[in-house]
Amino acid sequence: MKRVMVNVLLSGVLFFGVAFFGRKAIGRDADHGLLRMAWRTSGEKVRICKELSAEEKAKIPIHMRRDAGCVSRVLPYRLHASVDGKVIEDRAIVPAGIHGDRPLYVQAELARAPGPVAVHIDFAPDLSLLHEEVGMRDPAWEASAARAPRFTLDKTVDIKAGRIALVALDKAGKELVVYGAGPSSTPSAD
Amino acid sequence: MYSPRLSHQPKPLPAGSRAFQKIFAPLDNLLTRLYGSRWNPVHYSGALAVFFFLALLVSGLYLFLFYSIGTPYKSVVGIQEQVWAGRWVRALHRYASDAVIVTTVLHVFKMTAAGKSWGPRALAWITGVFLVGLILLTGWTGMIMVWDVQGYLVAYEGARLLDLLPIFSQPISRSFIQQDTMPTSFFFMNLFLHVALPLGVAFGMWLHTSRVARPRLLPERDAMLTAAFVALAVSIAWPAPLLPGADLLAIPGRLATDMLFAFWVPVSREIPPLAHAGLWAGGFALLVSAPWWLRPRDKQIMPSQVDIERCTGCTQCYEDCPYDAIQMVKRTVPSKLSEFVAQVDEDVCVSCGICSASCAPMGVGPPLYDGRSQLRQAEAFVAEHAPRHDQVVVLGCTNEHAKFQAQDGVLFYPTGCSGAVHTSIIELLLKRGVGGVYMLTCPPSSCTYREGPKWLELRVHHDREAELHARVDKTRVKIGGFAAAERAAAVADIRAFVSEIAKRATVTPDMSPLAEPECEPEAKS
Repeated sequence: MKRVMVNVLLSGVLFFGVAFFGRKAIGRDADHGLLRMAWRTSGEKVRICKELSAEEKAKIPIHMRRDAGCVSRVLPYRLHASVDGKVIEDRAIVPAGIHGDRPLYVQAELARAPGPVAVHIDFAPDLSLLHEEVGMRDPAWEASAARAPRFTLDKTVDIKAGRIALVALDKAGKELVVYGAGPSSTPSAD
Repeated sequence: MYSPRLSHQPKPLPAGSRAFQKIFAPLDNLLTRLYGSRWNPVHYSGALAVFFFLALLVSGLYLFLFYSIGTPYKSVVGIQEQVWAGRWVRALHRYASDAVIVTTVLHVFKMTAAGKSWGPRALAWITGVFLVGLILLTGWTGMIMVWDVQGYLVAYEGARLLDLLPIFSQPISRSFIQQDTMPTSFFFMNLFLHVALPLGVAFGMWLHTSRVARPRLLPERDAMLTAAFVALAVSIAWPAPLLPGADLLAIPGRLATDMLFAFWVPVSREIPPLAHAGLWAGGFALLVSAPWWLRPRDKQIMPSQVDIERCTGCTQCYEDCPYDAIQMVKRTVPSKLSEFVAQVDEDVCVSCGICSASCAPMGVGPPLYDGRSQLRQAEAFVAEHAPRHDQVVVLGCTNEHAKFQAQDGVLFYPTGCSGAVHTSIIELLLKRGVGGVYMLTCPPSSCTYREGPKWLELRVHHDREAELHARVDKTRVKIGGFAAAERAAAVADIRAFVSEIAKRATVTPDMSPLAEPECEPEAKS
């Protein structure tokens, strides 16, 4: 009986140890905040057509032959973001997918000490990227670029320790707003 | 000390395992000293993992009744508020999952130290690696189900890893950094995985144990009762905490983390996903390739062989083999002996030699360790040592007692697994005038070859084939099962036996040959 009691007690200690490691507090509370840019937009599609060479035509069955081959893809954008006048992002945002026909998405983070920061973001179509990529120009693309939505944000954001100020599109997908900069996760006045 | 050349081939142990044994043996020995070999949880580590897994299934069924994929965190808060049931059932579920990990790790350590990672054990090893992966995956989905800060971190960091796969047109980790709450479909998928993955674990368990006969899936009743009692007591006395709900706009700070499942999350937060994925891939490759690199370089397993001229088709070796390595097949050349004959599957045989001792006519066993070879070796032992009537020969299992030293009045005869020692050896030694034979075995719970002490006990005292003949004075035979860490207790027991034997009447050595062993031919399929 004594042996049983000892073994039960020992097992209790071991199991307690297991439970302890199952709930061990680790890490430390963040003393900084994050400015996170994360949004997705379907952008504006353009058709890229180019004349087919005789060789390319020959590869197509006779009943399907045509003079030009066209593909549809989403216009690339340029993301330009600055915080307190300092540029933190200036890069091309190209559509996802092998054919470049998937939506555009932005995902970037910047750690900041708590306090207000002036945030400027410009997210707009950039035809030069398309020209560079496909090596041709098309006047129709200008019209598409003009139709394509352009997003800007010019706002002072209050960065809080341990919190994320999220710059994202509003529910309607029409404009950039900041979430989480206020006391709750509702959009701040914007 | 008896010349080792006459003992069973040493267990081929990889160099890596020998090194690992130096680290693991002290822990095993400590637990043996604390618990006694019968209760040592290391001996039941695999079975304990299954037991805690079953506890997870039972507690999980209860939690499932109250879980809602529409409001996951709120439903868990509701469970936590059930003071009389939900709170401790959830704690039990949590702690049992941690216990599965700990016992599984102990099991891996035990198997590594025992060199059971290669050859016929490769299937069990590799399926074991996948089982660990499935258990971890199940645990992670369980953490995500709660959708507290920890669940969020596991989901987000896991998604960052998955984003490295070139199959997503956009990062799936994006789903976890939006302002919106996660859709119900996500929690449905997660719940589905949490329920489906354990089915994979069950299938994996079947594969994992497919190369052993009579797998011990659960610990002894006493060990189970203790584990259940302790798990319940800790769960009731110290319920698992419920962390704050997931907040996608908060930077997770210091929090109570389940380090047994989420050990990788702090790492993931500090290093780039590619480096993190490299650690996982490297660890997985290292473990899954162990059967190739963690194997002895210069030794090979010598599978048992069947002498079909002696095999009576009695099926005893087929029944006793702990690894299902023996099949009964129809003879290609008809014989008066039997219709069927034993056949060894060389890919499955681990050369434990247990079949040697199961065969009365001594027609099966590893090369140089079938019953007849053992008898020749025993005769040589007698010729070399001329044991006296007041002496005891200790037939010691070298898997557990390789370092046993001869004592006064004791001759040590190292053997392989005690379950592989043919009972004719005992008879021969006593016939040649030895005062007594002490079978020093490993504890039945930690037999290297699983069932050695069990079969030995049945053969010596319960007439299991190949039984110790009734003509042998069994009061001169004793079986003692001790772990290496229980050396002092083993020595004390042997000394008591020596004293007892010393008081007995003198026996006259009989140098005539042993009667030809026989058994009833019995053709069973």
